Amino acid sequence: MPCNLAISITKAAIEGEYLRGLLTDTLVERTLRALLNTSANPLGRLLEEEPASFDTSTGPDVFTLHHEAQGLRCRIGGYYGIDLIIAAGVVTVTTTSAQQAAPAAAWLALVQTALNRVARMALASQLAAALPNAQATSTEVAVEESGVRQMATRLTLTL
Amino acid sequence: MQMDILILASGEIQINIDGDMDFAAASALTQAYLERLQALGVPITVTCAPEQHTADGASHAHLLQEGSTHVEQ
Repeated sequence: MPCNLAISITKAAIEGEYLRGLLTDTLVERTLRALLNTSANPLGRLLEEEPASFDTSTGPDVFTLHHEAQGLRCRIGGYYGIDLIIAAGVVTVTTTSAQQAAPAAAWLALVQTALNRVARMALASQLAAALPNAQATSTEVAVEESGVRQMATRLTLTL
Repeated sequence: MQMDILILASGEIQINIDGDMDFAAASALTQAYLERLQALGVPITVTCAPEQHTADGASHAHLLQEGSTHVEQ
């Protein structure tokens, strides 16, 4: 609803650690596979446009996933590729050449944004479960608060 | 009754209530919902008590819609 129709507005906070904890290894891996397996996504094209940055000579698989002690490691591009490491919902990236700086930053932004969204969606499911008799719908929306624009998940519960 | 919940990346939650009820009832409904979440183990804390929407009230998130304006009260 537009806020000018709201009878009451209440603000609350969920601990960040709890929110990030909703990103299970399964969810993280599923998110990564969805991003990396989509040939139409910008990053898929990035791999095709910059063959010098990524070694695709290892075969059709251009990415691998490994569960390690420090988190989930996603190697993109083979031996001379880049590494995305996801731990507690936070993404870091390492590269094997200076040429990879720009695509590495693009990967980091894309994956972190996607994981943030998945975490919000997971929380929305929990919030909806607290009112099992309500009809629940969830969408991604753009919001503005104190002049700052950001994406948010909008959960509507109708009784 | 419709409850609109905005979930921001920081973990901030904004609960908007709309329906055939007054502000006191909406506030009570919100409080009951928050208590239910806490009972279910969700670590949620109120950072701003329920307020009626005013143009010059405490800042809160607005859906970006063309033509949306604050209601002067």
